[in-house]
Amino acid sequence: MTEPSTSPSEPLSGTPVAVAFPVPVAGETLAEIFESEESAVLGYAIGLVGRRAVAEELVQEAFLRLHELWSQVENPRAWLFRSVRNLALNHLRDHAKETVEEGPEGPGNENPPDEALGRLEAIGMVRLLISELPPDDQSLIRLKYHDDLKYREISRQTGLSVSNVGYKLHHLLKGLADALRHAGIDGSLG
Amino acid sequence: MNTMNDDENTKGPQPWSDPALEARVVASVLGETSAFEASELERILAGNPELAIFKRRIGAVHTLVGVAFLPRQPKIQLSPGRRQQLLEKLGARPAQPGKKVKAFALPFPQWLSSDTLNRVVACLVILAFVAVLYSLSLPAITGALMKSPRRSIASSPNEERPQFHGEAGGFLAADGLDRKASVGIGGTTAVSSVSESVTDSAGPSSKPDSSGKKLAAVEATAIKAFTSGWGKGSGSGTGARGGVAAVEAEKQVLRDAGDVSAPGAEAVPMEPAKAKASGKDRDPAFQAEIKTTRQPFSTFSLHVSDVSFQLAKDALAKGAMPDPGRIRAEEFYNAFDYSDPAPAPGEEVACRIEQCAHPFQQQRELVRIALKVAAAGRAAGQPLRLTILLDTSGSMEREDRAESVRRALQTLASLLGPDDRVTLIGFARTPRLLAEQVPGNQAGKLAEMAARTPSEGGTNLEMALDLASELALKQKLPAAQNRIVLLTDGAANLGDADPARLARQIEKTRQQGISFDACGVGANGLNDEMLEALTRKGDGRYYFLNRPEDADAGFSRQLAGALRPAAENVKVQVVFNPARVSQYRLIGFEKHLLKKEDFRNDKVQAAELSAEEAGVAVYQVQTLPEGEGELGEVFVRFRDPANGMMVERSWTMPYEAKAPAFDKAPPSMQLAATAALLAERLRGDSRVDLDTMAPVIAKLRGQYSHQAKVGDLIRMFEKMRR
Repeated sequence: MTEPSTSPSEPLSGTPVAVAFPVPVAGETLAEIFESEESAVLGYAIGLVGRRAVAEELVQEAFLRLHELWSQVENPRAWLFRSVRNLALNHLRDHAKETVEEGPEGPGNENPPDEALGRLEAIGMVRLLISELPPDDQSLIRLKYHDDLKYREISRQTGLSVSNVGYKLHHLLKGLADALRHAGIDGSLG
Repeated sequence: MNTMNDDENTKGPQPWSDPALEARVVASVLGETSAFEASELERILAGNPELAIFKRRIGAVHTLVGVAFLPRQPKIQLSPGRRQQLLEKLGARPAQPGKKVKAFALPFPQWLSSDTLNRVVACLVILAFVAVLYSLSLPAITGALMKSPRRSIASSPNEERPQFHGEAGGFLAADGLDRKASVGIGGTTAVSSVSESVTDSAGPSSKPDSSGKKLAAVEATAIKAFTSGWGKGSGSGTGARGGVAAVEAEKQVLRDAGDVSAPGAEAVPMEPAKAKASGKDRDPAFQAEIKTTRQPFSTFSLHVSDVSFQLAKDALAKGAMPDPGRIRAEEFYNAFDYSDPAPAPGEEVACRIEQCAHPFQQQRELVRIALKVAAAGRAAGQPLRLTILLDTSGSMEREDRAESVRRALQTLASLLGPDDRVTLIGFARTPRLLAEQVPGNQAGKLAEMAARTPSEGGTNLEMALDLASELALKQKLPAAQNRIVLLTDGAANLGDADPARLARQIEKTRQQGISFDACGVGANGLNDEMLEALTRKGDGRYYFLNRPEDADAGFSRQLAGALRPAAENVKVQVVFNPARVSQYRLIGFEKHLLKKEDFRNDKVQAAELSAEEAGVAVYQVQTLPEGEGELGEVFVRFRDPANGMMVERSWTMPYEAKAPAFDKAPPSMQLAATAALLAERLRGDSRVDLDTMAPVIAKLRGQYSHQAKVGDLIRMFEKMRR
């Protein structure tokens, strides 16, 4: 099995904090992270490689590697998504010729249609990008999208001014849009 | 991958980008725009295709982020076989069909519920631990003796709790975590045997009535005296007199000694009847006002800490709102030095009582009660037996945390003498005994030793605590201060622990004479609730070192105080006069409330105060202008660690018909009130009107310019007001 081409553990921003995406918790165990992220990471992997069986292998590999490096990884969620992405890109590069022969790979291994794949990949990428943001930015996005708050309410909760909230969200979304484009996702999925 | 975007490599602002326009576009995508603004924007977009593209991109990202945050995601899982295999490898519980974890479940109190997981993990860890025991050949890091950690699986059985033999009809607190204790009037026997000791310095001692029978007899008349005779001068309330003569005598002595509190006070019956109530008192939730006629007694453990204040400060400084559940008001107003007077020579404790009108609630006054223990005398020579539990998990490796730990240990070492002994246990997945019984004057090595201990993954606080308890008990010296100190960042490691079990272990150790302190390192991810709860069980101190540079003289003082308490088992009982106070509310201390009858039950443990440390409580009261008598009486009771004797004192809270307005009150009253009210605001009390408080807060800056924490409080206020 290929390995992540970059070491995802070093460039990650910050440490786990109380408010993030989805709220990283002090003292969370790997098992807990597995429970909360399994679905999202697997969805992302499927979106990237398009084949359920391969995706499962990549996810398994990523979790095993995280298990090994557990004490050194500061931001396990971001690490996980980044690893899956790297593993998937390696896989696609190494198996570029095989992608034509799609087909079912066994009982129960349903491979989603292409447009669903694009969506899974995009959502996974968004999760990856958000989990790599500094904690404060994560919490801002969370207040907006998870708690569905208005600028004014966010301002009250964070102590930032209303215009500052607007400014920050503007740049966060713009940054996400740019990063998605870099990742080859133009985000136009309707 | 990114073939479609040829403009990718052009960094920096793109030609069309006009930040102000873009911000308006983003605002409109996020639904922040009025209909008028939206149509205005449509017009601009029509003439600006670049901006229209920008809007489409932001809209797409907006949709994606929205989807990523959808609370219910379609749940997909690895195939069962693979899943099982992986879970086993990850050291988690085996697959549990039927139980699914929501993708966005807030895993916060997960440690409360994931019992099964804990048990499975604990079993696995024990197995691993046994394996480690056999393979352990750790190199000695210093000359200190290295030993394999031992663990008694069922350490210290119940029969080693002789102090509980008289447990009749003990209350078991509702939440199941609270201390078990014997209560009831019978508890006063202990009082009679020790209260004599007080006389040595202060003349006639407070000698609470020691006979349960006598008390019972007094009770009936006492409550009458309470409601009818209070404040009519020293001739009234005769029914209660007999039982409280000793108190009265003692108070006279206190007055003669030039005590700060008011003259002409009436005696308060020590134990008026109707002991019921307490159930509500112990509700840790937000306190409501209590009607004095229903429950005149307010009893609590005088716990002094500033961690909640520091964590809130840190959160606000980062632009986040602190978690309301972590705001403990008493840890706000106890963060400051109010320069309260020290006890007069020969006295062990002094009390200062201040009042002012509530800044914005009608017909309410605030009362600040400050109790200060004398400078350490005899207790200073008491040797220490410290068992330090040092978290060596991966997250502690962060440079700033490692440095904080180094500084904390250095500070600690500087406070120790040759008669003290320190045992150091590092723990991650398993505990490791790093040094045992190091003399205090060689403790400087500990910091270095800790720095050289490699960090590991995982953590098992339970096992570490068991080892610490075992060693602490083995090395316990009855004449010494015996303490376990946990140093942790509380991140990524306390999660496996079963807090209830930890609490039980700490409580049991505590009952055998060993206190439990915790020093939190770094604010990020600190498991504040758990550390707070554990130190509460251990009647120890909870302090906090956010950054290495915070290990200053103040921290050193805090640590020194924590290591050598000048008063142990400190309890306060305020008895309000129903003829003068219609209702009252203690701000803060929600988790430290005691039952009325626990006050003189010395088996019920309580917090500690260090030498010259003031413990402060703030009440909100509603007085009856046409009522009579004083506000009530403040009782404090504690154990002097120098001789193990109990000390009890009381003071009258005078009624001030014209309590000063908030802006005319003494600065210490203003500061305490400000801290208490800001805490309440952060807990979600929207009635706290920051604007009203602003002028006073502006003045505090000048009054307390030398206290950095007051500056912090003012900055917090400014952030909250914005």
